Amino acid sequence: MVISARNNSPESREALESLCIAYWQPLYVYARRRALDDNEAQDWTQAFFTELLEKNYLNSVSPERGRFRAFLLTAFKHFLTKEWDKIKAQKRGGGCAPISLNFHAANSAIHIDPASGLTAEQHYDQEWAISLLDRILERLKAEFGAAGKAVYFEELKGFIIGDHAGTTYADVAARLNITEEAAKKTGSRMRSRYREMLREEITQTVASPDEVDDEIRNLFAILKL
Amino acid sequence: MAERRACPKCGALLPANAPAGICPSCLMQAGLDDEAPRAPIDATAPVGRFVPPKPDELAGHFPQLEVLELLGQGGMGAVYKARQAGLDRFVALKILASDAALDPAFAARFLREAKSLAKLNHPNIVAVYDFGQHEGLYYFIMEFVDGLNLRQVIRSGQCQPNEALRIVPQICEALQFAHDEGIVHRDIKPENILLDKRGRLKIADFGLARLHTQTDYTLTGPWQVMGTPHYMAPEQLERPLTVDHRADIYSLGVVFYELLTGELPLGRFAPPSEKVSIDARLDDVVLRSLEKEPQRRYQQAGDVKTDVETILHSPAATVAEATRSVAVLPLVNAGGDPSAAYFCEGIADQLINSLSQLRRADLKVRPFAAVAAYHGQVVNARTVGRDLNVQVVVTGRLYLEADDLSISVALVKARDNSQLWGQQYHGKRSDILALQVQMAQDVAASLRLDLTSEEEQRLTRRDTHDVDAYLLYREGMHHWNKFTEERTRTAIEYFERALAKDPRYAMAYAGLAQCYAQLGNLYLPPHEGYPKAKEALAKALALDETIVQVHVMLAFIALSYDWNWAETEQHLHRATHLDPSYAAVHGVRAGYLAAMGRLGEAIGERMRAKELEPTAFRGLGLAGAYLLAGQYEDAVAEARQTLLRADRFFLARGVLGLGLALQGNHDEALAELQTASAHANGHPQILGYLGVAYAIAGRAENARSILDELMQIPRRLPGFAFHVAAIHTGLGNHDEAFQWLQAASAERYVTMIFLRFDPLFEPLRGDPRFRQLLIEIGLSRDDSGQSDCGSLLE
Repeated sequence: MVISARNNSPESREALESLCIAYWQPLYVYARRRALDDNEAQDWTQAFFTELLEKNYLNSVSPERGRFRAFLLTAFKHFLTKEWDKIKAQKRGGGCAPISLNFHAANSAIHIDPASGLTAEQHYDQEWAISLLDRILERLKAEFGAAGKAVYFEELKGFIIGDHAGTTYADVAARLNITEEAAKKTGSRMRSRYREMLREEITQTVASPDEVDDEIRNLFAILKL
Repeated sequence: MAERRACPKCGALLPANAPAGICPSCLMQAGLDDEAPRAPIDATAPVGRFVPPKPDELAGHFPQLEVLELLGQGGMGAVYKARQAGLDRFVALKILASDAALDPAFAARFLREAKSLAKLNHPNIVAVYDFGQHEGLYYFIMEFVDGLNLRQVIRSGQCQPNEALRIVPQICEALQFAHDEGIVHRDIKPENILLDKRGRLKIADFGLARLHTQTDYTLTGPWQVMGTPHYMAPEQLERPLTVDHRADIYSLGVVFYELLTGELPLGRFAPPSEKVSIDARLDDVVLRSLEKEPQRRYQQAGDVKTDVETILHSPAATVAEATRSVAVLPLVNAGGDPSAAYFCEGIADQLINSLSQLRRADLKVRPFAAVAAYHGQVVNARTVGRDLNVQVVVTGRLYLEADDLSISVALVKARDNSQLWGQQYHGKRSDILALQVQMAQDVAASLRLDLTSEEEQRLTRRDTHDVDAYLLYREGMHHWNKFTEERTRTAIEYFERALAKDPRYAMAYAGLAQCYAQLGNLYLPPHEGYPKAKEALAKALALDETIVQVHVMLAFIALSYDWNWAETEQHLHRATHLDPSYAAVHGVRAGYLAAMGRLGEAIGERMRAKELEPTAFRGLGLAGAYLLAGQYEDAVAEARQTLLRADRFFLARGVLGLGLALQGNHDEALAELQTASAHANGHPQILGYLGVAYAIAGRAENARSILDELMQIPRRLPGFAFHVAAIHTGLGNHDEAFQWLQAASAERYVTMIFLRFDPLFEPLRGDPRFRQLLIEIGLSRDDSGQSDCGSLLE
C-alpha cells in the first residue's frame, strides 16, 4: 500500500491511523456478525481503535503489501483472537476512549439482514465499498459547496453514473435556469472529478496503481452479491 | 420506511444506505468507464525476435554518450558499453526491447518502475544513473560492471562450494535491501548476478521483469530468453503479477543449489550435500529456500544470510549434543509375513514409550503417531530427520519365522546417514518382553544418556508380564490405528482378550477406552461410546494412576461430552504434570481454550501439539482453530499443507473447502468439497460443509438437495443433527436450524462446545435462542446482557 507501515515515521503512522479510522464502520459491521449483540460488537470495535491509537498496535502487525481493505480486517481479526477475553475486563476497568465512534448513528445506517446469506467478511467488504463511496460523494459535495454550487451537485449527481432514463439534462437545466449545454458540461466535469477522486482514494489502499482497476472490479462484484 | 427505489440505470433495488441516494454498484462501475481510450493494437507491428540496433545507430539518440560495443542481448533488450564523455566514466546503456508500441500503459509503468529503481542505492546493486525515453526508445544508463556474470563463472567451472558461500550472503544483502524498499526483483538468475574484477557482487535488472507483460513469461512466447522458468517460484509461474518478495527467495535457492552442485534442482533432486562435499547443514538452508509454498520458505533474504554465516562460523556439531531428538521408526518386516506387521509397529511404539517415560529434558522422542506413516516404507534417515526435525533416527528390521524372532536395530545420524550404533537380537516369540527391555537399555546407552537408577527403573518397566496379553494388546493397537469402525471393533475384541489373560493390564483398559471414544466420536451416538470409555478409564486409573494417555482421555471426555470445564482442567493439569511433551495434552487444552473463547491461546496450543507430533491430524487441529478465529487465510494455508502429506484426509479437505467458501472463493471451495465428499463416503461433516458452501455461494437449490441427501442417509452418524442445522442456517431457515441445534445439543455432539465462534452459525448469533443454547452448554451465564464466557474463568 502507498502508506507503508514499514516506514515508521510519525507522519506515515498518522496517515495509516487516519485511514483506519475512516473505515471503522465496516469493521463494526463485521463485529456485529461475530458478536452476540450490539454491545459486544461495540466493545470490540472501540477496544480495537483504543489499542490502535494508544498502544501503536499497528507496529506489532506487519502489513503484507497488498490491499489495505484485507489488511485492516486481518489486523482486527488478530486483535480479536488475541484480546477477545480481555476486552470485557478492560472495559470494566474504565479508562476513556481516545476516539469517539458514533455507534448510534451507525446502527441506524447499517442494516444487516441475517438471512442475506452473506458471510461476516462479505458484509465487511460491502460496507467498505459503501463507506468509500460515501467519503467520495461527501468530498465532491463539499467541493461543489465551496464553489457555491451545492445546488448543482444535488441536481446533477445522478449523472455520475452516466445517462439514464431517470432524468434528463433538459429537465435539470430548466430547474437550474442554465442551458442544456452548460448542464451537460457541468455533469461531465462532475463525473470526471468523481472518477479522479475515487481512483485516488483507492490508490491509497492498494499496493500499486496497477491494481486500482482490479480493486474497483472486486468492489463492484462485492456490491452485486 | 420509504419504499425502496430501483436504480434508473441498472434496475437493481437501491439499498437503504445508498451513497447520496445513488446506486452503489453503478457508482463503482463509473470509476472504470471512459478510461483513456486505448491505442489500437497495430497488427503489423513486428512481434518477433528483438534485433538490437548497432552502436553507431544509437549515436543520434544519446549525444552525451559514446556507445562503444554491444555487450549482450536478451529478451528484455540489449546492453552496450558506453563512455559518458562529461564524467569520463564507463556506463552500461540498456535499451529495452519494449512492446511499447503494443501497450499504451508501458510508458507509465516504465516511469514508475524506473523511478523506484533509481532510488536503490546499495553496493551490491547495479546503480541506475539515468533513464528515459527518446523517440520510442526506452533506456537506462547504469553503472558499468567490469567482470563476469554468474552464468559465465559457473560455466568456467571456477565456482567451488566455498566460493558459493561467499557469494550467496552478498546476494541476500542486496535482496533484503531491495525488499525493504518494497522492490521485488522477479528475475533472479545467474545472468543477472555480476561479479566485478575485485570479486564484488552486483545484482542487475531489479524489477525490470515487471515492465513486460505476462505473455513474455511463456516459453513459447516471442521473448524466449525471458521465459526460462527454472529460477521462478511456483507461484510466479501461476500468478506472475501478484508475487511478493518470497519469489526472489525461491530463485535465490535455485541459484544457491546451482552454485553448489552445478545443476538445477529439477524434479526429485538430491540435497546438495549428497552431490558435493559440503557441510550437510547447508542442505536445510537450500531446501527451505526452495519450499514450494511461500509461507514455508525463508520469509526474509536476510535470514538466509544469517543461517549461511552461522554454519560457516560454527564447526559441525559432534555426536554428543546438549539435547538429543530421536525418531524411532516402525521396524521393516523383513520376513514378509504380514501377521508380523503388528510386531514391527509394536516394538517401535514400546521403545518410544520407554524412552518417553524417562521424561528427560535433554531427550525429545517423537510420538508413535508421528512415525506411524513410515510403516512399510523404505526411507532415508536424512529425509526423516528433516521431516520430523530430529537428529537421530532409530531404524530396525524384523524377521519372524515360525517361533523364531530376529531383530536388528540401528541408530543413524540424520545429518549424514551415518550409523552411530547397531545391534542384533535373537530369541523366541515368547522372549519379546525381555528383548524389548534389553533394546530400550541399549538404545539409551548408545544415546549416551547417563540414567539414574530411578530412570533405569522407568525405562525397563513392563506394563504386563504376560507375553500373550502383550501380543494381544499389540494386535489391538494395530487395528485401532486403522480408524475404521470395523477395525475399531476388532481392536476392542483384542483388548478384551488381553484383559482376560491379564486383568491388571492398565494399558489394555486404556486401549479399550480409546476404541470406545473413537466409536463415540465417529460412528455411534456419543452416549453409546463415551460412557463405556469412561468405565474403562476408571479401571485403568485404579490400576495405574501414572498413564498420561488416561488423563488426557479423561480430559477430552470431560470437555467434549460432559461439558464439565472444571473437571477438564483437573485432568489436563495432571496430564501435563505426567508428560508436558505429550502432544495430545496440548491438543485437548487447545479444545478447552477454544471453547472458552480464548482463541489466540488455542492456536498457540495447536501449534505446540503439531510441533511435538507433526502429523496430518495435528495439522487439521490447527487449521480448525484458525477457522474458529475467523483467520480463514491461515486455515486454508494450514489445511493445504496438511493435505500435502495426507492427500485423502477428507476432514482436512473439508476445512480447506469451508475456509475457501468463507473467503468467498466459491468455485475452488465447491471443487475441494466435492473431492472431499468423494473421499468421505457420506460423512455428515463433509455433506454439511458442502451444503453450507452452496448456500454461501447463493446456490440454494444445490444446498437443499445436499440437505435432502443428508436426510436420506439411513444411519445417522454423530454430527448429523449439527450439520443439518448448519445447512438450514446457510439457507436462512433459522427456526429449523435451532431445532436441529437443540438435537445436536441433546446428543452432546463434540463441536457444540465451539458454537460461540463457529463460523457455520454466524447468522444466528444475534438471536436470543443462540444465547440460550450457549447457556445450556455452559458457555455463557444467564445474567442478562453479560455475554461473556470468559468471565467464567475469572
